Amino acid sequence: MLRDITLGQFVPGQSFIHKLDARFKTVLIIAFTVLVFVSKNFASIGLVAVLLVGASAASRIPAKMLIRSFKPLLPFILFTVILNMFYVDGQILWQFWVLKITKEGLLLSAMMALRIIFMLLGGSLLTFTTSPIVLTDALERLMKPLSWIKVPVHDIAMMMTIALRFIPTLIDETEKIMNAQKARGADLESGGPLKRAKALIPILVPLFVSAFKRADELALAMECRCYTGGKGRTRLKQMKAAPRDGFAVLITAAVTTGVIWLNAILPPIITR
Amino acid sequence: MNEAIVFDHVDFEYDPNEPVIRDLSLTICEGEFVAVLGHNGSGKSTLAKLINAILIPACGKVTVFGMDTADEALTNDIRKNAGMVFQNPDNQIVATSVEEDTAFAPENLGVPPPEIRKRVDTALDEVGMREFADRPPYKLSGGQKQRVAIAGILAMQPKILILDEPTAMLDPKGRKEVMTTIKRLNASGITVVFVTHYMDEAAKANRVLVMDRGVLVRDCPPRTLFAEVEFLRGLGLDIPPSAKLAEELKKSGLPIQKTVLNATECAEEIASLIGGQKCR
Amino acid sequence: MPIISVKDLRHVYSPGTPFAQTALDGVSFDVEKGEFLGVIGHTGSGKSTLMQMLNGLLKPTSGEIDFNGENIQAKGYNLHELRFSVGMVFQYPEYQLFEETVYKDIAFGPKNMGLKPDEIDRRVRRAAQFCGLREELLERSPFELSGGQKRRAAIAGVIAMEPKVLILDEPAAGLDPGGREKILGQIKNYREQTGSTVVLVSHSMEEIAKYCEKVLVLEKGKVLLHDSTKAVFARADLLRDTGLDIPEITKVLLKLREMGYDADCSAYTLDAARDEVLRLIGGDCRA
Repeated sequence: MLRDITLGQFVPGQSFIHKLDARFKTVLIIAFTVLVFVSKNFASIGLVAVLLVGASAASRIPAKMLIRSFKPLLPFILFTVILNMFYVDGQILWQFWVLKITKEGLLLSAMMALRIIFMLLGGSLLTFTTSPIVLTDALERLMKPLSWIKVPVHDIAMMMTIALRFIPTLIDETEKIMNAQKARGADLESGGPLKRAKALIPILVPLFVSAFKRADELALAMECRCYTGGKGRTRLKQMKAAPRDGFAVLITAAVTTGVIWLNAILPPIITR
Repeated sequence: MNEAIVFDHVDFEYDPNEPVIRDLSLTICEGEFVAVLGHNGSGKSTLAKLINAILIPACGKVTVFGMDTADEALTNDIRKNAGMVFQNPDNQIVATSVEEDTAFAPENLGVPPPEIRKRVDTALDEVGMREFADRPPYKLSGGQKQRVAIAGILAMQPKILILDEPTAMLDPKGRKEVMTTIKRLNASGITVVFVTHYMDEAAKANRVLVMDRGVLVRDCPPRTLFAEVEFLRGLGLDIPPSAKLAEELKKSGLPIQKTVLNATECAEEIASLIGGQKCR
Repeated sequence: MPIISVKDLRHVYSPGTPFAQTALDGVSFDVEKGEFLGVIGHTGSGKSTLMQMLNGLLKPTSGEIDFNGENIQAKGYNLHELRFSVGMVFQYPEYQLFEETVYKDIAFGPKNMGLKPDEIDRRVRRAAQFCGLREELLERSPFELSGGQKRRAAIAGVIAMEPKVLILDEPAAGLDPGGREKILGQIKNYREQTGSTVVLVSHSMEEIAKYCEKVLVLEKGKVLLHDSTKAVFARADLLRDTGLDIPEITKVLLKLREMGYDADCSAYTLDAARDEVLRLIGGDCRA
């Protein structure tokens, strides 16, 4: 049933990557993404690829699943590739009327494609190995400094937690309401876009009304448990850095150094 | 005995023309197991909400262990001591796992993490949900969710547990789970006040408060109350079916002495009358 | 010919996955026209799954369901139309109210049936009357009503379709004793006046005992018992061993049996139980 599908494609596991502190994971993935875009030649991006492959292997997520994560975006990647192929000036390899493919264009598109794919894979690696709630937690803790400039970090995190908590419940409720209205002859399947939109009213109105009621009751229950916002709150689960996190940082630092060095000693793929 | 909850000539209304509670005075002592009965609109839920400062009296005073509910500075202390469980099991669970939800209250109170851990484990043990600690709430049954809600309150280590129709949305299995849990909690010393319209649940309490249109009309043990069949009927309430049977038998002339509260008592009463006439 | 005939119904949720769950495991029974059938079973016994199949909301993995002799799974069978003849009231139906006025909400079903405005009007008013909703309430927003009124408005919305079979899943759930009696009394009255077949799913044994003539007991996706109310409650020991609730009165008689007295457990109404006890004691003690 619908609610058995976990959000953000989280796949529970015990791998090295799974066990990394979520805060470190998040920061490292951001660093990784920066590296992907900072690499100037195939050697440096090759090094980044090694890091990616290593991390993927360490996560024990099946390759098929990882590939599925960027498959839907393949058309977009292809589109970018084609655009870059035809619109970069340089050494012309093939020409037909106004369309010309240059060597530089090919190199640039290849680089572009790799960058996008690596970035997506990196992001997927994060969401596959970290549950949405742990991720929300990590983000809350990472963004804590922002609360000094009045960003309501805790409130946002609490809203996200509650949303994650209620999504399966709301999905269930939608199913129930749909069944009840279908039982009264509601036709949710046929008709043009306008008719179908109208047919959603008997579903959306009860859903919204009940959502508001839920919010009311939940807020009351929270107050009865002495909730007064984020100030002074402690947490059951502590996030503690472990040696493996230090190890992951070291490896990433090494790759970063390598990328900078390779960028410096080898020519970039195109000189502009 | 310590006075846990005191209502002193309390009036309450949502709408100035429609008083919901009128001149209510009562005292509940520590350790009592009190049921609040009444038809819909009798003010029974309002009574419960006046205890932990969700609602403040228009006239009169409500105190919990001496703390005045009207004093905003004391609200959190009052709620720490008088925890409340509501009717809808879903709309009380705020976190994505059982133990994280149980930890919610201690987290709000700034309890140090190792202590939170202890409280969560103890609370879950008390409601029998320890093995479900890392389950998400949507995978639980109604009775299980309600027990998690109770654990969430127990984690505050309250002296009083207030429950507003906690079993109304549960199936018989869930109702049983919850009633067994609260009976056990009361046995361990927690004062329990629960609002209900189920007669068999009220039968399990030591003391029943009956509300009718905002007025406290009866304050007595269940056995005394269930003897007043016509009175209860007039209020739109009922008595447990076994008590009804005993009444019928009494009307037919049988010398039923006791006001029975459940099937076992009824059977025993009947058996004592059959005496030596065993037919088997 | 029975109005509904269920033949060897089987259903598995998420088949072939690690989450596979057998909900129905070979269920067969008939419902006669005009019958008042009670359905009991644990949560998870397959009750809701079964009910949702009777009006075509859910398709079984295998098995056949006939309505008026026609197989509703057959190709080309109009399931959309079936729902007007087999009306279903879900649990806590007040959560499905959505229209601007109670009148419009009750009219939703008849409107979907494509009826003419004056026919719709007749049906709406009739349904409102059956459910004890006063005229003035019809023009109000359903969200202004009290809990009990909302419940009755939702039930009226299904009755307005004038279904031949009315299935109700715990129509009195969450209501106080007064509210329960009112709603069930209205359903009983509706049936008597229209001769409709009514299927009542309930956890309350007292309710089933009071209103139903026949009872279907489901356990773990199978039919445990399907017989007259009297015969089913005579098997009180089986019900109790399955973990199902039995009417409190039956509990008393069962206890007397256990104590060694020859109590007939099939006496499930208050009057019958009283008479049975008097019989055991040896006659009416009135002088």
